[in-house]
Amino acid sequence: MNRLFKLGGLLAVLLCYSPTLRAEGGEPSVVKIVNQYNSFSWYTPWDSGSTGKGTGSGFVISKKRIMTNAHVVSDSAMLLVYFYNDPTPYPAKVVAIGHDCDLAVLELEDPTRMEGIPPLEFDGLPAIRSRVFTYGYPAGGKRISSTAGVVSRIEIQPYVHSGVDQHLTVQTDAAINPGNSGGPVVQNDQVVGVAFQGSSQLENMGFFIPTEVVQHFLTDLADGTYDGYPELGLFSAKLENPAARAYAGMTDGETGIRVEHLARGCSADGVLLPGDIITEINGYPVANDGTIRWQGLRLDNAFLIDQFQKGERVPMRIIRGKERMELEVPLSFYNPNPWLAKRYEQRPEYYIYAGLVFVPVNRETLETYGKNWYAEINQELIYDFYYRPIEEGTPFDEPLIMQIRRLDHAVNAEEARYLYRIVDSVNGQPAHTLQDVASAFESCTNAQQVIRFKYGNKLTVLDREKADAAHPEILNQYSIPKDRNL
Amino acid sequence: MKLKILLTALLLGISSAAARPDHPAEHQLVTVRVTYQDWNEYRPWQKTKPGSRRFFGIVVPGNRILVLAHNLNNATLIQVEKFDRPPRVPARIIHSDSQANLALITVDAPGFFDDLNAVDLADSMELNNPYCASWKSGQLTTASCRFSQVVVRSSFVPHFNYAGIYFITDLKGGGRGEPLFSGDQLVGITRSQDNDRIVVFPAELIQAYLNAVDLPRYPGFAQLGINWQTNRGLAQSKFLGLDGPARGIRVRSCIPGGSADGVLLPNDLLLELNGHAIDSQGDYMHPRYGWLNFTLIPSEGHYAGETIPARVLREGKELELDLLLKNIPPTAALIPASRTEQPPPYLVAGGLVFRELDTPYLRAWGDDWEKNIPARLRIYKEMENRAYPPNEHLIILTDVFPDEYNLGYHDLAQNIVVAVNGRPITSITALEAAFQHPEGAFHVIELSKSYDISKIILDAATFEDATRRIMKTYQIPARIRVRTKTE
Repeated sequence: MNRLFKLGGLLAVLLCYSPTLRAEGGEPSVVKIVNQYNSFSWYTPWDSGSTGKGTGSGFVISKKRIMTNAHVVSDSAMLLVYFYNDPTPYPAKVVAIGHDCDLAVLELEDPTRMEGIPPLEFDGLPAIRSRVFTYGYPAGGKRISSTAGVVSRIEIQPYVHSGVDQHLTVQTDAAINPGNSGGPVVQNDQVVGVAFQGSSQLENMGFFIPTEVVQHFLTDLADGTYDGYPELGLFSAKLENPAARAYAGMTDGETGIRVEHLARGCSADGVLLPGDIITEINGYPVANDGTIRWQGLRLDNAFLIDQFQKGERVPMRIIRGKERMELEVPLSFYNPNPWLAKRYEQRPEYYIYAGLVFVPVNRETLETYGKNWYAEINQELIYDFYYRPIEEGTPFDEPLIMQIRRLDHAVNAEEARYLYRIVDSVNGQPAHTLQDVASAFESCTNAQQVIRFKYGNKLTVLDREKADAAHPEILNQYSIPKDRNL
Repeated sequence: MKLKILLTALLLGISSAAARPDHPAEHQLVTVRVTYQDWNEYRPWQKTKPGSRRFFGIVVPGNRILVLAHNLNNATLIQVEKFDRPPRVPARIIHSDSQANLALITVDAPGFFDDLNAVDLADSMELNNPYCASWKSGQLTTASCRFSQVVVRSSFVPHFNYAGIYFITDLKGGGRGEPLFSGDQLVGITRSQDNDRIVVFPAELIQAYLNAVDLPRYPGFAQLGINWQTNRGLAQSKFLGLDGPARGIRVRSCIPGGSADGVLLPNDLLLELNGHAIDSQGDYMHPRYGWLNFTLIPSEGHYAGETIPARVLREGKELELDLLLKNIPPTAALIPASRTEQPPPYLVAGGLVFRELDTPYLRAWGDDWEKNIPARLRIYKEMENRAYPPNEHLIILTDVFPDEYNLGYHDLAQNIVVAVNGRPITSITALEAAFQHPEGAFHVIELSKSYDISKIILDAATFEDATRRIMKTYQIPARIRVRTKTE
């Protein structure tokens, strides 16, 4: 199993951004967070953002710090924190945010309000069927709300906020509703998790982030910066079929998974080899279905990698060419996941030349195509973005540029128009980045600007002098303040 | 527009009505009933539920009946009725062209054609009160039709382009081969209906088809076989070396095996074809219909095997080229658009079901199949426009019949097979041969790299026993079907 790049995860729903709110107090350590957000459009990247208000919950974890979900405070233009029985909004700022684990830490602009508030303490993983309580401000309520339920299931699940990550989750039938996000889940007066998402497939079920993930986030953060989870880059096969184990030279009683291929540049690339059998990770035997046994639970082996930080080494036992050996996989800082993930707190990049709008190919720009973008968009984009790295072993973060729009003007309207197509070159210069595209257009001295697309020998040509002259006119006509954000 | 439509057609505005009892069409139009059974694409050894179709046939010279070819697909019984009344008489197919979607059937019963007359094909498009004729409950009915436009359309079974004539009509539920008459002459045959609009194959295509069938060897219709882009923009036109106003179209690529393959080159500006000047958006002046897309030219009055001239601008120089017209078979593609008469080739091995990947298989995902098929197959389908070796196909693992033997692989489905036991796999025949050569004690099936498993290992010693056992358990009558026709 691998955490990488899931197209799916569409079924789960995040539990914040309820549009209404009415505020009043509650338990002293649990706060209500109001996020005045501002998110930019990747389709009209020059526009000011769309603004709105969302609410979530949080809880005090130290003298100065408040913990919440990343999705509660994403794309924030202004954050306000409301305390128990106190109608005063207190401005806050994000000091650390982990989009891959959907956690964030806030501090007040003026920390004095936090004095005297007892920080909540963390406990470990709650037992299956044990009772837990949630605290938070669901559905815009003014008063703090508490619900109770049991721990139903502990499993690796997608974290929908980033769109690509999977980590350990705890499922509970304690009601977790929009606005609960970021609130503590408590057992015996100690925090056992952070409420964060629901599932449209399950009725009356919510998920919380267990302390294993919270502690990983806080440990990572200890040096002041959040680096995120390491990425092994492993694609593996289960070995449930006896012939598959015999083929690998495994003896009776030996169990493990087979390495199929490795994502280029990721931690295991070059350390593990295709065909290797991984029998043990960090001392835990790997079963033929890819699971390991941990504290009485059967979890996917990816959970073990999640226990490590970037820069650490994961000991493994493997069978390679029928030789048993031990090795260590050094976990590098390289992780292509953010490249494939949803983007927050970013001004979209773009470049416009004479009405042709170029953008990087990423999850956000692909999604501008519409709801069923993955099925309806030109499939060359899906191939290059999701499949070529696997089939041809290219890096997942290899930059690609596409033409997303054309702002019609006499200078371009009669020329061939190819939208949502990958640009191969401009004036013969390879176009991997927006900088490449900009410099190829702007250094051109030929009579024509020639844009070649990657697949199908498609071509767009513009008259350079006329296009140069039309460029400011087009920006003015379409009311675009800047022709680029590179 | 050179087409002359008499105002009377509009003024009369006749709606559906029983025709006069002695209408000549009574002796020119027959009813055809077909029982058919399609292959079950997902379980390729069996067929789906049988169905039946009722459509129309037009009597043409030589005791033959012209029908739409697609109505005969997977027919298990063909019967013809005169005057829409019993008896139903068995008929047989003489010839069928799935690309042109025209076919000829005949009836061997003596004297059958004695009280039938061949239609008279119109030789001009001068329309005088055009109408459609069909049989309904034993009565000939007619429906008035009003000319709308002519559009170059691509055939459902590639690769063939034709001039489809659109009429607005009172006809209900048509598109089943109803003849369209002007006076007593046949203007065309109704191909399809969408609300009040019908598409008609013109008489000249019917005549060209009938002439071709009478040749010693049926040549088929040709297709240029290029991907192209317009040349409307002056900047592009100039870049491609053309001075003055923009004209011609830019060749992006040629379909392997098509007429243009090896003659036209990528980046050529195609200026003229068969003496017709092509404008910058790809239209030419058709002598009867006016401006039409140039892709009609190779099949207009020509068959595969003929040569037509082409004028191109290549690297700044105008060249006169000879294009040998070729038919591109519907099977010529990495994922064939159709199998014609070939049932789906497949192999059941150790409970794993393999088959050749073709468009009929993908269509089994339903009306919205292009959106609903697995992502990787959609990419193959859309990006297949590249060189492919003839007789090479993608082999797909469709699913697995669960058994202890194939434990661990039960959930596999829709994976592309790359190699088996080290041998590259491009056909069911190659797959069967590869299973004869296990790698030691194992069969090693390599799948295209994906987010899923990419290597299936099976035990070779128990392979055949397991296959037999699984076939018995799941009632699979035959282990293998290989391709019987090669293109």
